Amino acid sequence: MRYFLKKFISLIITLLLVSFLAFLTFQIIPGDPVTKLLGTEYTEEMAAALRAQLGLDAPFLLRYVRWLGGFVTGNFGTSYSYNVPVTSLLADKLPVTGLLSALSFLLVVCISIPLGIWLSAHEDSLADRFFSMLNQIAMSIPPFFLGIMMTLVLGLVLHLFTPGNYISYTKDFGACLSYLLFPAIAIAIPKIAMTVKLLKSSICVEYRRDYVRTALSRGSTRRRVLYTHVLRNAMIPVVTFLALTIPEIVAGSIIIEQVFTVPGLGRLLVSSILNRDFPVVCAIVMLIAALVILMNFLADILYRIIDPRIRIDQEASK
Amino acid sequence: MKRYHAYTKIGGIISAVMILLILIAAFWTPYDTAAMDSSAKLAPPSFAHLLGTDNLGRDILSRVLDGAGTTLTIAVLTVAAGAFFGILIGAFTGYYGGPLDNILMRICDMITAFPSFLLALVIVSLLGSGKYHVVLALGLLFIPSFARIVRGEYARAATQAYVDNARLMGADPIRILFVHILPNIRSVLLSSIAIGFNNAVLAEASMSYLGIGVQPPDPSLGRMLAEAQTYLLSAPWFAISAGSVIILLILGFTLLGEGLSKEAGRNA
Amino acid sequence: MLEIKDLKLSFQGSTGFEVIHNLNLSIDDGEIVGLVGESGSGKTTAALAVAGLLDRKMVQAEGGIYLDERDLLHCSDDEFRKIRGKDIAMVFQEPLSSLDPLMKIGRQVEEALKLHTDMDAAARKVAALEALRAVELPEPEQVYEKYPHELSGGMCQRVMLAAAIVTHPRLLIADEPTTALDVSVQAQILALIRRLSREQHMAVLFISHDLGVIRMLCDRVAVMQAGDIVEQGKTWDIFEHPAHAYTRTLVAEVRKRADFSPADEKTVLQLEHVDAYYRQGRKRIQALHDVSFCIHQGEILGLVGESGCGKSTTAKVVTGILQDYTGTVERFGARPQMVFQDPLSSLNPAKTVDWLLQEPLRIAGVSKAERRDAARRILSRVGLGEEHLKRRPAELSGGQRQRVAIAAALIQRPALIVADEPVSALDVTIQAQILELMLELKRELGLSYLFISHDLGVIYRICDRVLVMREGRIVEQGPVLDIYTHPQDPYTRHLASLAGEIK
Repeated sequence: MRYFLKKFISLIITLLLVSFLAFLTFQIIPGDPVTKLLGTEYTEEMAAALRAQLGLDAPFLLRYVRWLGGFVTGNFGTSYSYNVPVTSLLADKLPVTGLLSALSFLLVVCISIPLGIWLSAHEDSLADRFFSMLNQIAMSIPPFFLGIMMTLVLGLVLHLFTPGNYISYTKDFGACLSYLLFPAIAIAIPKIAMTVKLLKSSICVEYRRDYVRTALSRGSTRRRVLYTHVLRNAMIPVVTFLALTIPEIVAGSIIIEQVFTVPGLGRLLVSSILNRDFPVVCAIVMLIAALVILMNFLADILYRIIDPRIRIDQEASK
Repeated sequence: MKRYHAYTKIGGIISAVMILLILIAAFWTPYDTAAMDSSAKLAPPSFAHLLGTDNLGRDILSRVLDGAGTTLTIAVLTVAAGAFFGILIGAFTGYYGGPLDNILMRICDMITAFPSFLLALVIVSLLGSGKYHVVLALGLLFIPSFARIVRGEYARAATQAYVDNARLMGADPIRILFVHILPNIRSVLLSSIAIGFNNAVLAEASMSYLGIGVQPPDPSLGRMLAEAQTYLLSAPWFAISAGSVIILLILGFTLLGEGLSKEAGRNA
Repeated sequence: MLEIKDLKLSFQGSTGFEVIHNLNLSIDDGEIVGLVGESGSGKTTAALAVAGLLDRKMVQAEGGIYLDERDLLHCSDDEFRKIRGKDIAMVFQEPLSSLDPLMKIGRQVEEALKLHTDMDAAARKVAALEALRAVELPEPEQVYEKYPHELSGGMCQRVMLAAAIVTHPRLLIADEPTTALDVSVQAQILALIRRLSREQHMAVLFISHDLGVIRMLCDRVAVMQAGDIVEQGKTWDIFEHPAHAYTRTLVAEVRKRADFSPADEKTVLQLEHVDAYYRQGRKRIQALHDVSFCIHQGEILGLVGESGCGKSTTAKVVTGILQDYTGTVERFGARPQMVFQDPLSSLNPAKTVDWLLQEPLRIAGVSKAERRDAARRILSRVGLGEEHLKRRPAELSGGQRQRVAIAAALIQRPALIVADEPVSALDVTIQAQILELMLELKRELGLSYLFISHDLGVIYRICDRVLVMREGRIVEQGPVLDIYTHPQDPYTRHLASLAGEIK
């Protein structure tokens, strides 16, 4: 319990640290937003008035506290280019990216784990060699190129979906899901390849451990050894890896949304970067940062739940 | 005497051929990369244009190799910068440990937890796009991942008896770090350089594809893919050529890295 | 009960070779039979064959292994599975890694019951607790709920034994079960195996490289060399009247004691009231308490004790690797050098022998030509030739590696060599050669050694004086013969009795 508390405190500290960095990066470095808002023609008085109105004349730390307070209460500031609250811009994009990421994570888990187990049982067979080669290639394909090829083959040639014809989840959830399936596959394939490889090698490593020989010496079948002993041990690194894959998937969706013209966070981020619309960029980056930190926390906790050795080590060193 | 893994051989051949082609293209290409042929817009592959032409009638083979040159340059520069500073930081922190090591590694952990491509986007969005800003952003982000790997290896090596032995011989710390220990982490280093190289290629291509990376007039594979997407149905060879070059670049080094780490495992 | 007849085993594949040539061995109910031999003699392969744990695709077997007339070698996998774990059980060398780290002790002990009986969960638990009690584990109910990493190595080996005997097997195969344990724990486990065998009328096939262990435990012993049993018979007969030449060398090596010449008066090392500390995370732990001793020129000082008693810390203080100590350490002459237990890790694996030998001189700024000559000279001095110069440590045998390690220490002309378990990883015959080399160097160069070992037999053979360490303190010191014949400290007495009557 003490461990969780300690981890939780370090989680909060990391979040604060990241937010401070983000504040420095997006509020201080880019310069005075007032000049951007007012355009080219303005007087010093107008600028000063606006500065006061936006609270930019306050001391540095106070500005940070206010800014952070805004973040916590869901006020992410105002977009420069659209002149609307960032929150309203994010509100309808967030679910799209969330859905896409969830779908692709589901694909990764559901395909890679059975495939990894199956391949490890057939180590060095023809199928295994074929899949390892395929795996290497799959890991080398940039997901956005995969997306482009899927658009070409599955969309334009086979007409399985209409590229560019995204249907909002509010209108038709099923249609939206079936459209998102394709970008989800494009994101998932390299991740599946990596997970399969990790799981397979992890199982093979565990099979060579002494406890497997012990279990066999008690009269277990290899199959029973796999499911009662090996798999649990082999899953430890895989679970950590999967938790840390989630932010990668979200990052991957930023590009894939561009390929499939899905109106999610990614497209918003890209257009905001191109327009130098820093409040929006900052909000998205902070969201992803929070996700990364949260997933790391989760990976740590999961790790401890699966592996009793670590729990004890922590308590012993207390 | 030394037996190479099949992956090392295949990866080595792919990489060598790609690098050779890119080097040739730096001095000579079949066509001027800017020369437009209005009579042959979006022409399919032929003997005149091995990979066809693009929407302005430019030779795709020439342009793709030129773009690959940019990608390769960026990747080499970022990996070199990341590896150099990463090794320096990792060697000292891993060998000596202590509170500085703790703090630095916490920071490295935090940075490497983020998708590097995303952070690079943020940095470039502040600096503005362009070739050297991409190098700067990616290079900076690669330092912690190299430092972390190198640190781990050095921390392990520091407890090995051969390092104690080197101390007993009277070797100074610099000699221990770089003459005694460094050759022993060679294979780990080589495979992480291969991985770093792939990440650099992928990140650069992705950023350029989004229009936030390399800017004209510098040629770029990512930007070519973005252009090619418009003509996907009428000229699929455009996108396929650009994409294949990226895949070959990455595949070569992935296989090389994989093969090297398998060889290292076999020797251990 | 168990009968191995004309067993031949050979590995398949491109480099197919025969590991066991013609093995004949029988074991009666309740009998403890020792199988002794050096690494690579085929003793473990033979044991795995009896347990049916060899991959039949990889290993070609001829002859027969009979358990009460049933031919194990030629029965189906399914049939064998019903015997394995029920009639034949096994324990292994590394107790901790032989247990599944993620599974509670109770479930692991019950596993064989689950596979071979139709007992319900409650009955299984009763049987498992009874087995845990039988192996003398304190508080079996609590152990039942624990994970392997919460237990010590000795306790894990008891758990392994409990899991093995829970089905009341007729034969227990024990493959070096005490090698990874400390001397005192070793003795307890051996006594336990003996008691279980007597009580349950269980036969034991006990595999070991350690003659002392075999002698303490076994009724009969079979000596293996290069895939053949060269001699077998009653343990007492084999030890008192070894017939085969190989057995004679083995038995003789254990008992031999070097001739001693009186050491010089000159001191090469003096430690006074040394307290030493090491760091573990943020904690500073005291590893040595008030350690004082000296070593004279041409003397071999033994340092004996169990793992974690401070032996290696003493070595680090003496050589100057560990700086965190109070008290005085005076070294006379050139800097002491070290020879480690595992030369594979103490010799830089990335470098050639030539480079390794030259490196100390390179650091000292000796010219290239002189370095080359010195490396060649020292290599021939330790009994290796120029053909070894271009090899890397991994390309040498264990004995050759230790010779190179000694050469690399010697090239710096130290007055004292600290040898930390230098022969523990080596086979008995190689051990003897390395010890002989060390004695030669002592006689010819007047070299002194601090010889660290957990093996009282080895200490007895080559040391002049001995220090006995326990929990960071020196509990006794004196000439070897005095310590062995009249141990004063209770701990030393305990150790000496465990090691058997080595004289």
